[in-house]
Amino acid sequence: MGSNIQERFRVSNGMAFFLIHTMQIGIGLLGYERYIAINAEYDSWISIIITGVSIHLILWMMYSMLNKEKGDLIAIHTRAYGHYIGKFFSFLFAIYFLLMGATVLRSYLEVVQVWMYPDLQEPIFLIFFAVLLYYTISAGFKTVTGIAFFGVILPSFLIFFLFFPLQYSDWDYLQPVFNHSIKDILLSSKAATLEYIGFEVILILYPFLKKPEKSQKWGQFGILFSTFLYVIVAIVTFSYFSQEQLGRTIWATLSMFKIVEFPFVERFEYLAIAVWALIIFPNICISLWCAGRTLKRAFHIRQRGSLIVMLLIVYVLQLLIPDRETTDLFITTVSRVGFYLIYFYTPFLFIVFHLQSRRRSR
Amino acid sequence: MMIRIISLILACILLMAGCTTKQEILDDINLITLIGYDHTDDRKSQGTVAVPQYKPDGTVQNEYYSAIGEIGQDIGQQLALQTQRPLVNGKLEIVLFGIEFAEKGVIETNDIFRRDPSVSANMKLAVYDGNVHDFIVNHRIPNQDLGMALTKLIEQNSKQETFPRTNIHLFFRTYFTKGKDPFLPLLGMKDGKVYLKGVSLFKEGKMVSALPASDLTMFTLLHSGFDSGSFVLPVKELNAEVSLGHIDAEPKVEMRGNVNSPQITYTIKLKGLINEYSGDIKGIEKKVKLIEKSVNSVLEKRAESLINSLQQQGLDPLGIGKRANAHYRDWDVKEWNEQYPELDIKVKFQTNITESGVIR
Repeated sequence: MGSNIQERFRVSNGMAFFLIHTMQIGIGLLGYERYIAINAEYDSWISIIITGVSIHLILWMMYSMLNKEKGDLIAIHTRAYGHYIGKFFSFLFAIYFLLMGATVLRSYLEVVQVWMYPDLQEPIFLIFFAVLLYYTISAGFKTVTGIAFFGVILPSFLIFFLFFPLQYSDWDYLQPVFNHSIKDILLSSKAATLEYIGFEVILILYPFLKKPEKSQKWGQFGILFSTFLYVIVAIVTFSYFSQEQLGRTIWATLSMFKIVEFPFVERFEYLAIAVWALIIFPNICISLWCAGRTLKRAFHIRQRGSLIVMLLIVYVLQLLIPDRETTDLFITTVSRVGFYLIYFYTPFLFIVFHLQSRRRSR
Repeated sequence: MMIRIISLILACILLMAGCTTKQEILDDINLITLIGYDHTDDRKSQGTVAVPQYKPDGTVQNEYYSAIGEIGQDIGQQLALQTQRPLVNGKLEIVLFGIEFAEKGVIETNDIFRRDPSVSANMKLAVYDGNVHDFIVNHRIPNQDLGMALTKLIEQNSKQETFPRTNIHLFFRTYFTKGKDPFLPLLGMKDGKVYLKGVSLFKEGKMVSALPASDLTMFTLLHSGFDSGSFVLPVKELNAEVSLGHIDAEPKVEMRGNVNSPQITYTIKLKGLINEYSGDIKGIEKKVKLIEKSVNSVLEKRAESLINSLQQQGLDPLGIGKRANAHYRDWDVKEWNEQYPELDIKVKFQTNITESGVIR
């Protein structure tokens, strides 16, 4: 079920790396340091590694279900809960993906407004963006994957600019290592999971890979690379800011770019924000595509039709959020849902699914 | 397809500029490069800005605007009344504080610049020994942007390793660090020229004292070490003076004992060569050992007296407390501040002169 996708619509296995990695790296990378450092302070780079390991495990669970079912989440839901309840859960997933896309766009707009254009006229800007999203997503999964590929490759040069803040690094701030309780480190790990959510899309796009059973290593590589990036950026940030200073810096990564100076580019962070559009764009595309795909599989709704409705919802949602507090609330709510989805729902589904399929094979 | 979409994204970013109502064209704005703050009376302060004007014939002229107000915004609005074009912070190079203003505290004022996304993290802060308004208005440098000139003066000294690297980011980083006090360059006037007069030391964001210019090199060495620094030192035993150059030195702070009674030793391995020697140059190769020994004891004495005077004032711009925090797991800032003035801090120099009398 669900695996009868024509060969010409499929993408190669290696793309699982880009699809998963690009979903994890997004707007969070601009300012996650402050949140993860709340509990474990400057030991929290350890927390990132712990979270990374746990995410590898969750992805393995997902692949174990997908490989057995040889289908996608909708098929797994049907197998685990039966026809109607399964569809209900799939619908919840569709809403989750839609809201995920909306949060990413919202947080990006916030950065643009604070740093570049305080009097940006959102309604007009969003129309441009919505048209672009429609144009890309309606072209199909292959195009979305291509965007994911470029969304990783093109902005990757930014990593070299960490060299500039590194010149100001003070390693005293990171010492002594392991000076926090296990509880604090785990609490920071919990905060770090928010940076990893998004890889659940594999549950939907699995059948679109050429030999999906063999794609797991690429997916795991994608997570490994995300962990690597988060740890490196966190360590550079911690050596660049003092602890209390970081607590007062909302977009720490972006603030680090403020130190970059070239004779021809006075303010590098503006360039970084513009390039960040390339990072978040595939994020939104994949989320919305997955939402549409879920609706199509569960309720046989045409993807183009649902896409227009979803874009409208995203559009209205952006305009309904008035201030920073609400934005923050919106983002935390969606990411909290993501947290429970990963650490509670996925293992639960894993157990139910395997029990059910064993019962059936008997 | 892909190229088209990517170029569309980029086009979209460009179009974003159109979504904002206010457009600023370089010729239609006044780019501030220098802001100075003075204390006038109990509640008010005076802000003075310098704006370079680039003339069509290639010359630069500095224009000055000044206003008195209670908060920064107040001053900003009054400044706007005097200018034909809007004043913009984007190219701000340096903020100068009059010494009286610095003694009242600079944090609130600086915080505005820290939070302003259009201000670079590499913007300089400095204290001027005197009235900044008078300095800005009276100081005539021909054909140069004043803010840029002062910034270059400070940066040049950081490069020569006579002053540690400094900017607004580092100032706030230190301000928010437990066990380290911030410091800024102190500028002064001599013979109609501005010069680096010393280090102004801060406690809790207020300037409390200053180090003289003679301490600058030693302060830099103890704070951040040398890559290629220099020293001129007397050699009493030989009744001569020696100039060391290309000095490579890394200060290492060793902590022994427990957190309640730490014994602190600065160990500085100093590697350099003799640039100049005022005594008899003949047979200098044989005197090297003696010079090294003499240099060690002179430097140790200087370093210890500098650290001692800082301890007596309860100031820790070198970040010894920060180092202790990194060393001891149960370090506490309150206990540290109490014991800091009484601490026995030793300095050991190990000078190694690698070359002498070589003609380069």
